[in-house]
Amino acid sequence: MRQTFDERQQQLQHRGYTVAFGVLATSLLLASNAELFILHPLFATQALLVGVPLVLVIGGLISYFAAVDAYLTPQLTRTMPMLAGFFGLALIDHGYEMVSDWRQGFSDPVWAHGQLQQGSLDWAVLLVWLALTLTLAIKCTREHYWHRLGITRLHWLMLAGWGGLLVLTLWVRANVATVHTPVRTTVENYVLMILPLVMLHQLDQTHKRWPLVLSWGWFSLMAYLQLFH
Amino acid sequence: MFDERQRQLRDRAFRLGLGLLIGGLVVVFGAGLVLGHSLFQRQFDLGAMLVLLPATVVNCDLIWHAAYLKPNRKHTILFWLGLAGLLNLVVLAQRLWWEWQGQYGRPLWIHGQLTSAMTALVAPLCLGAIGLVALAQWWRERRLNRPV
Repeated sequence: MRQTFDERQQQLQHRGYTVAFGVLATSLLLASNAELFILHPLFATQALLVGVPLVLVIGGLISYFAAVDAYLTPQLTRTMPMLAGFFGLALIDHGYEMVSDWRQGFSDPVWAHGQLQQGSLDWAVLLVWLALTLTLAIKCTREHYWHRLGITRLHWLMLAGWGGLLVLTLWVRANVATVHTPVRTTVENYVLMILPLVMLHQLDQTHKRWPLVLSWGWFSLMAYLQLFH
Repeated sequence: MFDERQRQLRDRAFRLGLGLLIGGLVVVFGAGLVLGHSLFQRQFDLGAMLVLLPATVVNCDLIWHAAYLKPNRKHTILFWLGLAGLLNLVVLAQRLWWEWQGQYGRPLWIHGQLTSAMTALVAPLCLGAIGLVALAQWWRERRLNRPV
């Protein structure tokens, strides 16, 4: 099935791209010309000068598209709750990393020596994940999209099995295995493990046999690696 | 107001501009990773170059497709834009000639980094390019410039 945006969505996207171009060009000019006023570069590295505006503008653009229903084609709208979940996971993952860095005392500063430091990029990424998650969650609640996840009793059972397997793996890795893995890595691998199955369930596809075989193969391979390697 | 055709062309040009800008940012970021140090000597030049190049392409595109001026505007401005661009090129040529004769030019590339001399070279070239396109467009539409 061909996926296309409708006329209204295309017009909104064109407007979004135009505004994003203006905002990105202006913010780059301002960021690089700040040097003329403060007499030294505003960003600690050029990678930050490139990264921070890029992340903020692209994140803002996608949030805007999501807010005006121009992010997903009409055929893919039902995957919105799943996307909200993904962005939420990314938000939790990034937030967890920032908090644990902070607790161990090696989080990057945002501002030092009159310059924006590496921490500013971390906060920009956090802000973008937060904006995306909130936009999609509000959208799903308002338009009553949550039920489109279509979770049946069988799915709950499968999710419970997945959770049990995760707990077992965590126990094995903590108590039996010789090489210890961080809990976060194991959890991330478990999310990657179930990702193809979740996506496949969300897509409106008629011919699912081979994708299903591949997804279950991926699932088994990952489970094997997590448990025995 | 711009008419419908112009609005569509402008949207397309701005989309192109956004693509070029993001592409440029990615290239600069990637070059930094490959080189192991930043590509530009100064942040000022990074910002100037990254905005200047896409802006030149977008403006040339708009002028060439007659989506730069609103329908009720006179085309004379294109002629002056062209003249200014040519003047920029002449001044640049003169400067380069002097630098070559007097052997005092600054390097464009030093210690694996682009210097501000590169910006000073590229900026007049961009303005010159816009000017040439404007002049060509002014000539193409010269019938419209005459009083009816």
